[in-house]
Amino acid sequence: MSPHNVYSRADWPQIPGVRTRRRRFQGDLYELSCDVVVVGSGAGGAVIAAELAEGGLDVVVLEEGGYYATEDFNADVTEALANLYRDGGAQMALGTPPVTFAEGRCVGGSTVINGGMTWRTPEHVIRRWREDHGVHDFDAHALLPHFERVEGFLSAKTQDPESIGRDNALLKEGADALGYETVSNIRNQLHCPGSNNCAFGCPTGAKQSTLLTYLPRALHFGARILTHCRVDGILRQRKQVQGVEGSLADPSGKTRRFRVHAKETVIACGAVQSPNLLLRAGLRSPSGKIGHGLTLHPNTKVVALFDEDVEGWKGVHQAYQVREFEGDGFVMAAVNIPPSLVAMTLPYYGRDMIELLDQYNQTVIGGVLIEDTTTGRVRSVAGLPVTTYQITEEDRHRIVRGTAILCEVLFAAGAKRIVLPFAGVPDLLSMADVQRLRETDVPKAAMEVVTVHIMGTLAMGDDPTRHVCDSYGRVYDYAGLTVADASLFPTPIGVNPMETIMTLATRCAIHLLDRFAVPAGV
Amino acid sequence: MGVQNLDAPTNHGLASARYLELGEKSKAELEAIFRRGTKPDPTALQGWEFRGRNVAWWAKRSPILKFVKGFYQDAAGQTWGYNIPQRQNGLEQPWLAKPSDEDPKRFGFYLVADVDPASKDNVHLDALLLDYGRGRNPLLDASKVLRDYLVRVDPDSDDLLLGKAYLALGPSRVPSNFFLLERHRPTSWVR
Amino acid sequence: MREFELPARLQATVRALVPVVCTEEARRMGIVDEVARGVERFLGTLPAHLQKGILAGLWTLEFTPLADPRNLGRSFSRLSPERAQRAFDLWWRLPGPTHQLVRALKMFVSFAFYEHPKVRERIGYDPEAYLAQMRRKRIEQHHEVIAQHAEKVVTPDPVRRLPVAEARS
Repeated sequence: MSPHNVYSRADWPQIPGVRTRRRRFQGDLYELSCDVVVVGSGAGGAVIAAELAEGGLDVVVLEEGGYYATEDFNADVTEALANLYRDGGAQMALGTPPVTFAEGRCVGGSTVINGGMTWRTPEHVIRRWREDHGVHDFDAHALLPHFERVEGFLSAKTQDPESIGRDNALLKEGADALGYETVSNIRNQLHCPGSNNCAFGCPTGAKQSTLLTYLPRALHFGARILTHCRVDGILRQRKQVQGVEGSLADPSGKTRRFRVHAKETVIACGAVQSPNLLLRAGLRSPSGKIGHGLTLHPNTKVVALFDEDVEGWKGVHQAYQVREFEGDGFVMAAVNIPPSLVAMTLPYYGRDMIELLDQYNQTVIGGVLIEDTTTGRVRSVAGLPVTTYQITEEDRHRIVRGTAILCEVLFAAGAKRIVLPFAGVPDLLSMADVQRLRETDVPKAAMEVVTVHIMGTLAMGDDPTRHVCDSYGRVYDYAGLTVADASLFPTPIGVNPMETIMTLATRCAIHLLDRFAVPAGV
Repeated sequence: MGVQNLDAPTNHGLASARYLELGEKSKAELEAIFRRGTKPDPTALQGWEFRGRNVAWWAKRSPILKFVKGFYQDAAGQTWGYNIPQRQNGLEQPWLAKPSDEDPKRFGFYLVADVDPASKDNVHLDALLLDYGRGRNPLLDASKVLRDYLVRVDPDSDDLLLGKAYLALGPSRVPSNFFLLERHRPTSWVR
Repeated sequence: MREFELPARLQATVRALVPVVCTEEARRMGIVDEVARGVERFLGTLPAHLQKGILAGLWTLEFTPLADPRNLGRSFSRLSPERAQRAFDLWWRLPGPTHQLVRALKMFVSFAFYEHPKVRERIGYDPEAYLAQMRRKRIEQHHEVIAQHAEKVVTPDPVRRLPVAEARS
């Protein structure tokens, strides 16, 4: 992406159209006006920004994080956590067990740090959203052109065969041996060579994150991206939203305030930050559901040791998914992570940890992703989001069952030892031990649960008494305010959400363009 | 634009079964219908009178249980409206204007407008506002404090409408009651 | 990246933790100080409220051994390696907040240990060289397709309805 039109915190005086208002006690205030201000540059924000800019609107994108290009990405995990992740990837949904979750905070948002899975919204989810939540114009036929458009820009396709590493091949071998259905993952990649660094920024430029696709498109059509802008307020006159305000965090500790005035404000900062922004700005929904309905696809990981050299870091992240149990609410994949992150999550230290990680190159990291049956909530406390989520008994059983089946797959592939994500439950050494795991009553508190899929806190639907947003992301009871991110999901979707977010953002953009095209009052 | 069903209006002035049934619904049920309702098309209201009834415990024996609302367009294209008092002869009976159908009294005028989200009268953005404060009513007319919000009961029809009345008391907007409107008869009256 | 520095006393605590969590191997490799610095780097990525919590945890770990007479009035950073190991083992085995604390500290130390280049080399993990090779390979083999897609990304859609652009023109 050309840095032209990408402005960092130091560039504000040079941004075309910026006015500086002198204030005696609070320091200078930067002000900027545009047609549409988009808060967030990830899967939702980048797409809607590009579509609106192409439609002829003056679009400003505000991103809290910094701008990092392909050349900046490497295997330094600490640096990636600092630069690309919110709170170093250490956010937590409170509950038993607490669920650790990660969100992107950089230009490109979570698309810079996700695994690149590009799945259309499943048919049953489309039907559920249409029938149970009254989402308008929402069927496979109506969505098809949006899916195809998104997939075209993202270059969504299966991997080149030579990029598939041994860890994924083993997972597939195990699933095939047990007769389980696997699918080749469709990923937003252009000849990905399989560098397996997706979660820390793609260093080859193969992953077609919004950093390489929708944001360059938005810039091409005249949008401006402003980095390091932390939005903390919504400008409005009663129910007419008129833009946002926030602060520019200077590395030296000095902060400056800014305001961006806009005819339309689009909130796309993810399912935790978006409701937090609305709540802290004092917005109220007739449904009373701002921040409700959080779902997060809880997932767990196992570490399986093999006799052979696997070198899971050589080869693509998640070439396949085991879909045999999708109907039961979980899918499985091989999800290699660097040794530093494996070490963090292991239930060992000292000699046990060292001995295990000396065999890092003989490990396969397997993951189970659960379609959750409950919801959590995001509250705003002193301006910060507080996320709570309580795993249900049903999901606890799903996690144990999914983990047990994943272990069977890995043993079928030749694993000799599997370390579980359940504190106090001994490692499994053979297929026979899996039965022992199935019979173990693993308490929730013992589970190590993580996620990267945060969804559904500003649900869309046709009923203002149940939903926060209408079918096109417009926030009920406010004018000039649209949401375009995973917050809109009325339910979890059971698969990776990026393409669904982008598709919804495309719909929202078309709807907004139609509204902009109609003169007011008609 | 909403569908204007020219066959549906009754020239005998009787309320439909659906209209009567809606009037029996609870406040919570009407609130749910109102929240889901869509904004009526003002041009589909112009030139028509609607039979109205207030839905509230106090309205049952009041002199304003039944009423008629009319809508017209001025020379500038703006939609306005008025009220006509009715004989309180029971909901099953025809709507009969006072003092007579031929020469009804018109009062309680209002401006019909989209809701301005930035104004004080912004309680329901997806409704049509009947603003009595801007209705050119006499200075001390009590109706000046009324603000009615109107939505369609059925998404594509302007024949049956649900209204919610508010009282504008200083900066506050105090909810009063729901009311129902059903297309009644055409009119050519213009103020 | 923000610079984050622990107080000198807590730097000593972390240095004492490294061989406990990562065995004497860390000392043999001569990387204890660098791993401790890596822990600070990692803590620098965390939000302020978590940093404060971790600081409180480290102070607790540092001074709690003073209450055990067998430690002869020494704090964690001044214990012998054996006594430090024993103290950590005990906290790990206890249920409740002490376990949570040492588990969190173990996470940070083990993370920093395995981020160290020498440790990565020791376990045969050399991603930078591999990434460089993959970068080159992709460009060499697919540069034409890559350029075509970059062009496509900024090409206006000829058939797409653009109501605002049309309305303005």
